[in-house]
Amino acid sequence: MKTKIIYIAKTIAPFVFFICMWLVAISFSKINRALLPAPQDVFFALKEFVASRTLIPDISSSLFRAIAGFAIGGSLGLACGSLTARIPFLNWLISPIFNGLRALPPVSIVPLVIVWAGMGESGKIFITSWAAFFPVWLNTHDGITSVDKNIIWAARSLGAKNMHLLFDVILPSAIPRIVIGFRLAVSTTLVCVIVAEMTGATVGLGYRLELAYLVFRVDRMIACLLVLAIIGISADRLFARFSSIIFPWIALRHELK
Amino acid sequence: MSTAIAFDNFQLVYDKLTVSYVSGSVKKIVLKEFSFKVERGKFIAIVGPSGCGKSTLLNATAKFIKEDSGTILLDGQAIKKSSLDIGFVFQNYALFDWLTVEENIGFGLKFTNLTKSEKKVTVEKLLRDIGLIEQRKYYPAELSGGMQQRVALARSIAPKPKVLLLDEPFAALDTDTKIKMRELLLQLWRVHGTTILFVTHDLEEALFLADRVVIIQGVDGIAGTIDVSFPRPREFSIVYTTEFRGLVENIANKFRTLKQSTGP
Repeated sequence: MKTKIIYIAKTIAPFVFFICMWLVAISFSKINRALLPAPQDVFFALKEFVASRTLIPDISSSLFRAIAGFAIGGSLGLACGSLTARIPFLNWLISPIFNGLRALPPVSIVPLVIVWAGMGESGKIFITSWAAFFPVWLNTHDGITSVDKNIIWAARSLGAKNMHLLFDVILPSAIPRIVIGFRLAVSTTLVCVIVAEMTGATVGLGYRLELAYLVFRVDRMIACLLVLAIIGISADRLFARFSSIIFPWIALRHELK
Repeated sequence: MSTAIAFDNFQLVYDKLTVSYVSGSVKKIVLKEFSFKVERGKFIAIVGPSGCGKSTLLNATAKFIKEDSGTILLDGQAIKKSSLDIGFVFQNYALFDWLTVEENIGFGLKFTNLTKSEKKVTVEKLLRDIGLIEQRKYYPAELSGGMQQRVALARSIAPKPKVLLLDEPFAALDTDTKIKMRELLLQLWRVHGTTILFVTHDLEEALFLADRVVIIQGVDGIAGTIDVSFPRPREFSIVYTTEFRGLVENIANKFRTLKQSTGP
């Protein structure tokens, strides 16, 4: 119990320190509060979001777009990564193209997607899927192609072949890399959902941010960013916790190395 | 086939086996027309200078790599694919990180037609043999090197292979663990009666374990064989006897002349 309190205190302390410094900076300088609002201004902006009943719809629609993209792009990435890693012909045919597309910042495809898919939901989910796809594809591909050959040999000498070899041995041994791919995808989808929303939406945190920018409300902009940061950190923590529950052996290997 | 080979006692027969590997654009022949016979249930240790093809021989036997020509016969049948008939133990353990100790040991049993309860009994017995019953739910990463290699040994022996190939299995372990592992291996061998091919660069280890020590020298084939007649079960203390030291000396001398003729 006591250690838990200490742990929580240690986690919160840096943020408290940051807010204190912020307060100090505000009270001892002559910066225009419209440009740099005080912490309490941001808090009031947040309260406004809650009062106007926009916060929850904003968060939920942004999260929906991010999660949908993560699921679609992630599963396609996993499937394509397995295929390009295992089938040399597909690797030769497709990987160079994927690598070319991967080199583009996902943000840069937004105008094109708007032209092709309009401002609707499908275009946004396309962008977040795009963002999730590449890290998962690349890490799955690399994870599978770099499996220790002794592991494969060991499995073969124990009677595994074809599908068993792929699903019982090769994919599981690539899991640590695949998990890294998905973890990267969590953050890239969150980035891209905001970008997609900033360029045309009627709801969502990116839209709220853009709206605050248009009316020059820095306090609201920072409030949006605060919410985003909290979502980003929680998503990453949640993912790490979740993956260590399903794959407890990954962390073991890393601790001992 | 014109050359009739007597299979009666021979479990493993190498007939003019040639194996090469390609690195870059260079093709290097590692084994050339290698012929050799192994009797059923024997423990054969294979020694030789590094790069002499000892690992290649094992990899070809397990069909991890393809031979250029020649055949390897198991009980008179040419070996075509990797299978449960030939078990393998690697120097780096090659355990499945994502499976627990007992799941690792039971891995090969999935591909046998044993019943569920027979599989359970087999795993249970091996866990007891290797002394890891308490650690059955552990993951490989939670075990020491010696423990991991014990799991790998149990895993390879669980499906009752006819031949067990071991490629410098104890080279990465400390001396104490090595000695214990040798005793464990002999004990498992006694129970299972598997034919064993054991590659090592440690002459003492080879002589302590094997019925016969074979010195190979790559393309020149077998440079000598020594039958080891120490009675079994062997105690570790035999390595201190003058007879044992004499044999070690004997092979070491052969080795020196080999190394001179094949370079550094």
